[in-house]
Amino acid sequence: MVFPGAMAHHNSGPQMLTSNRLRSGDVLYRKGDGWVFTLAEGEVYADQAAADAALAAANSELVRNEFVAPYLFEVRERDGRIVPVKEREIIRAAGPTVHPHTGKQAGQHQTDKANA
Amino acid sequence: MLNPIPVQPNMYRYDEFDAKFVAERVEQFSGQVQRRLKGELTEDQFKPLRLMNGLYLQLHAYMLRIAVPYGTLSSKQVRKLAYIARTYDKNFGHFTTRTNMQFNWIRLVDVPDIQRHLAEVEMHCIQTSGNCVRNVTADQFAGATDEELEDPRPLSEIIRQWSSLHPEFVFLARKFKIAVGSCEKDRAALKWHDMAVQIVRNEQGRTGYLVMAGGGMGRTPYVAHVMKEFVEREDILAYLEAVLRVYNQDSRRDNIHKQRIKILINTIGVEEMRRRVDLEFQELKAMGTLQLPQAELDRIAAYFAPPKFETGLPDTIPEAGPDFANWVRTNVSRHKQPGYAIATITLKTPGQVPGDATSEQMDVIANLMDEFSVGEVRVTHEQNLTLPHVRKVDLPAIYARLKELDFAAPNAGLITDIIACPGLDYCDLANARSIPIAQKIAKKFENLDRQHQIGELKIKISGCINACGHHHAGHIGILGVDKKGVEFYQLLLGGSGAEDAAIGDIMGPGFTEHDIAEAVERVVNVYIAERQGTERFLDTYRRIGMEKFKAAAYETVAA
Repeated sequence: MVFPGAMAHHNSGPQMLTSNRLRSGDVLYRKGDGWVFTLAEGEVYADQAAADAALAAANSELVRNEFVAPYLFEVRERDGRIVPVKEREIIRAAGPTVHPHTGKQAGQHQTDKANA
Repeated sequence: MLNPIPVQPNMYRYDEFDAKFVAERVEQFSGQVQRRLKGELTEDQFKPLRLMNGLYLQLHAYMLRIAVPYGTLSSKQVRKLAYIARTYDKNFGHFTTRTNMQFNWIRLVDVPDIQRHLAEVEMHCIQTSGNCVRNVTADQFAGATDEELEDPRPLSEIIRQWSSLHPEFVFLARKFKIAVGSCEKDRAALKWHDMAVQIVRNEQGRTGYLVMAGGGMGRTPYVAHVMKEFVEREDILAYLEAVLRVYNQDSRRDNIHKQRIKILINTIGVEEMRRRVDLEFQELKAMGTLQLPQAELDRIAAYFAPPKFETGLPDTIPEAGPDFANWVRTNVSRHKQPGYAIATITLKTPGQVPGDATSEQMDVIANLMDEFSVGEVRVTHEQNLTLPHVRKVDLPAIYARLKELDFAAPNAGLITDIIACPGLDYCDLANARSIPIAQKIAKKFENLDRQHQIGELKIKISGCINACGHHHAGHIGILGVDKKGVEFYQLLLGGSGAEDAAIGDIMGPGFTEHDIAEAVERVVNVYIAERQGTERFLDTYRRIGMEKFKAAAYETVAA
């Protein structure tokens, strides 16, 4: 299955790996062999080999049915912080620009709701 | 003291079959969700199932799309949507250009419960996604305007029932959208649909249906062709089935961009399409199994009987100050019944997200519906709401309540009444944001005198080529594109979604996020300078063409 975010086949430079939590839909970022909720906590892969290895590991874990749709995206360092190259990933990492009281920018996670 | 208004709207009510069908579907999907969570279904297996139940995985979370057949909602249903927004989402919902409602922050584990809640008020998410016949839309003034030949809702409901899980059309090549209109004035964007029905009267004075097909937006926009000028009442389902059958049989399935009926018709030619449809139609008609009996039409029409209008009401709108007068000027329309009016609630106060409503706003609107509009509201494809039957004497009270809600913008049909898709703020497919551009433009033209000076001008904004924001049909259309990860916005001029439907012309290279609102303003200034008499923006554009608008739009950018 190809997800829209996975269409960027020609990534270059440092990358990160993202997916969505199956139960809640929460956006996740890869860190080590697990996942975290915020981009700032996620792992940056300096080269393509490391990025490919992370994606391959995530794909092999899809059978656990904990997350879906993993894909890599480009990031760069700006003012000492890691930020996505594309606007799409900046918004995904923060939340809708038109509702700043929602999403990760407001510290909200779907999983925080009861029975997540 | 005027008589109280009944709150039970005259709209279709589920029979035993409907209720059982929806309840079974809810439990079926609940089981599928459980199987997915347990790993008994893979994502590849589950995705088509969730899409058949209106559930998408978007940029931030799951999005659930709820069908609002022909845009009609009861107050009970609006309250239920408010409850779902409050309980399962982030306290707001979004009315779409397909007259549906979307919730953007839904968890998979909650969907079965949400769908059970919806079933309690005769709602569901079936056929709001996937390659099937989608939710049927209709003129929001149905049953209220004196312009219509007859109410389009009974036929819309019949089409809904005929197309719901129609065994032959569950796996079409692509999605298929149907709209129904009832008069020359087109408020439902008929000519932009895969198939559309307009209620007409023939030379003998008989009422029947004009059928169009092959309209659509997306990357290859087309205005629909007339397939048949007049279809007899009893033949309408057979004719619609014939069109769908030809589409289903003959459309391509090897290229997702060429699988809509518009591509088929414009590839084989409209005459050939008509010939193929006619062959199918004659066969279906000969079989006689799809004839629509008058008794059945009457039975469905009875659900939509006009409410008990009061007689002897004053037929003038009370005076209640200049702000109210401005609102009446744009947001109140003529009703067929003396003493009554149609009120449009634009969810577009400059700065607002077009189409968004909070739980609190939905609850108050439900109260307004019960108090003033026989418990009914209509969702429009322009992402507004319409109270179809309100007494003129009640308009000041309605306006006052809307003002408290911040939903009293006097801008229906004006430049700040902008359609915008969710765009990159929410949508996984989008290339650029739509909503902030709509907000910027609306704020720029916030001055009401200026809006009235400009007059009718429809701006429509899409965040990608899929065109959910109808940019092809905007008098001024805006298409968001991605250039190396950065948002740019192309301008289109001269489109229309009304009875004079037309595809907008692309002006040229895109503008940046920071330049687009100013470019729109320069385009509008050209119109003001060039217009003659009572010309609308669209009329002036059609008369003078693109050149002057283009020169002005790029003027500052070039400098």
